[in-house]
Amino acid sequence: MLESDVFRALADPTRRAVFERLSRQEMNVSELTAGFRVSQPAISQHLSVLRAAGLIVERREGRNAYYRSDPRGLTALADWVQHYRVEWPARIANLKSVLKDMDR
Amino acid sequence: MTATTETPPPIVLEYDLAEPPHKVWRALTEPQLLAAWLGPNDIRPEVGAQFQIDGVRGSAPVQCRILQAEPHRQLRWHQWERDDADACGTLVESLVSFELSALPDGGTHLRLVHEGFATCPIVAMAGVAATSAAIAVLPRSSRLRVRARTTSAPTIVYSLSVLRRAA
Repeated sequence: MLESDVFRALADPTRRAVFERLSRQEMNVSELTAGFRVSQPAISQHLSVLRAAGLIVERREGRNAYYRSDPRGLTALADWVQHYRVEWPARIANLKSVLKDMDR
Repeated sequence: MTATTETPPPIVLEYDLAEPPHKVWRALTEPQLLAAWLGPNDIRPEVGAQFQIDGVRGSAPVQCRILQAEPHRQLRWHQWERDDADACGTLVESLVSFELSALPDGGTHLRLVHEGFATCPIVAMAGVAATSAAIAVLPRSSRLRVRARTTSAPTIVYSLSVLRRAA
């Protein structure tokens, strides 16, 4: 996933609004269209751009498709802190050897 | 919008180092020395200076902005990073500070605090007069587009709250 794709996908105000609504709850195309002053085909087009950018996921149920934002962001923070909890002591160990080797 | 309401507790680490504060300060603020223990970077220890560090986590560089730089005493920066594995493009911001104090034996007491972890969903970033540090995370082409398209901006609640705490 290229960052530029993500930003291109979200640069459009309608698409951004679609993404924000889908981060609150899962919806199908007609539910989504009800909240916007644009046609259903236009919403479908926005959904395909968001999907291509990896911002939303689709779930199929019979003939219906439901969309929601990818929820993985929620767990990211805890992983991040844990990463640094482990990483900093290792880095400081490196710092100690850098200090020893520094010119006087 | 994905939001994390609880801020994780800070990471606080304390060390007694054999070398004096001025030497430790150099290891924190000279690019070549910092690179040797943290990662390739273009640090400039001046308040407001922006720099990046590679290889801290994943492949995306960490974007930083200096908040405090008091030679031989305190270095503090605000950092932004992207999660490679997260297709949503969540950004994580946090504050890193190094406090140095002289020990009687000529060494340095180093206190490292890493705190204020918060997520900033990219959706907020895309529509915003974001902080310059946040904008720096974006590729240059998108920065221009984001600025050009922005009229009324939603707020980046998380990043602004961290900046306020930092101020």
